[in-house]
Amino acid sequence: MFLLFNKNSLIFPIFISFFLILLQGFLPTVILADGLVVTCDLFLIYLTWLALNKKLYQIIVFAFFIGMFQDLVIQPETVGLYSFIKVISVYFINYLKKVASLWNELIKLLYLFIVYFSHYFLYHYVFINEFTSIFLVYIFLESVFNLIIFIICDKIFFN
Amino acid sequence: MVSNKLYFFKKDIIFLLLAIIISLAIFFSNKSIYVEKIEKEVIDFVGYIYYPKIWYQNILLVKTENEFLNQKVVQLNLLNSKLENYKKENIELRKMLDFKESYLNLSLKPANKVNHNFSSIYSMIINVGFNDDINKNQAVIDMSGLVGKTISIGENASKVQLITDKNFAVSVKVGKEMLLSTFKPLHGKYGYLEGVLKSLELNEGDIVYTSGVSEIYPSDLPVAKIISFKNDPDKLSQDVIVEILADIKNLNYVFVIQ
Repeated sequence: MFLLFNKNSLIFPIFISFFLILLQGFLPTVILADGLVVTCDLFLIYLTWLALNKKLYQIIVFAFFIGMFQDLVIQPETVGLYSFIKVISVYFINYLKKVASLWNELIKLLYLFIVYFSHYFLYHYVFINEFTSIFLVYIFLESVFNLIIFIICDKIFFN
Repeated sequence: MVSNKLYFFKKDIIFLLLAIIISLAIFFSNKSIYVEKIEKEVIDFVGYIYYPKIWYQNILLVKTENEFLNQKVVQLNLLNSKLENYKKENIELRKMLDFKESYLNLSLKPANKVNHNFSSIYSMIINVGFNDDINKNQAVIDMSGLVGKTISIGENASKVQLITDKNFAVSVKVGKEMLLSTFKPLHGKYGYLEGVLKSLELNEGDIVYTSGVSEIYPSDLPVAKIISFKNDPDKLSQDVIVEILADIKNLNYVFVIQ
């Protein structure tokens, strides 16, 4: 019990992750067009919260394995892609901790949006053949959607 | 305190780098079309990053290559000139070979002029001598006609008295009746015939040949061409001016008649 609720322990986040795996499968999706489906990435949102509240090196390891799991489930042809992106994203999100007292909420959200946008941009960049403005809009919407989910979760659960 | 912060910073960076390296290694170990596409783009990106370095190296390489090629051009030009010279020489030697074959009854020893003006303007040195079975008083000809005779023999070189030497004289046949007379040089490429009978009918352009009377010169070697003749009533013989056929000024190859 001590390990489960210890602040520095990773047991609790792992436990939560199992719950998120189950939950992720039942989440609704927003279909924009044929092949363009906006989904909520609960792992990214959860990693965002962890990156803002836990030690970075622990979250990097955690993000790596979460990413690896996502790769194996979603796209086995590109194993390593999500783990790479997740690790990078977590590192940059953690930077918000260092500037927490310097930046206001809007700039923090803007920074978080840029990280999310980069996260999805890198991911979709691997799979698309031709880069068009439609994809940029799609990535933008996906980033905004996940950012909104994060804000909601932050207000409801994380606080 | 500072070192403690640095330790955590380093720890974060080490974990980050490890995670990135492992995930990229796993990613690039896949053999899917998506990974291949990214690999191509990474290669293009690396090529783009290294472009200034390669550009600079190319400039240095071009400069070095340019110097090398300039040297090569000069060398090839010299070689080309040499080959052109060989070509001309080859043509000349082929002519000589044909000439030699046209005189099958004579034994001709090819020789090369060494120095024309070494001792006298009326003699020259050729690169054959006693070791080549060359003896004194042997006729020397070129492809046009009589050049002279050997007067001094060394081991590997000989001196030739030229037909233009004032002391040179040769018995020749002249006119349709092939009567005997003597050729003597005048100046330059001109000479005259001594003892041509007034009754002898001559034409300008007639070729004068050696008579064969002398032991030195075989008969029928072309010597000169008549360019003018005059019958002077006060003289016993005709004044006949001839032009030497051999190209004395531009001698390169000659034959010694053995």
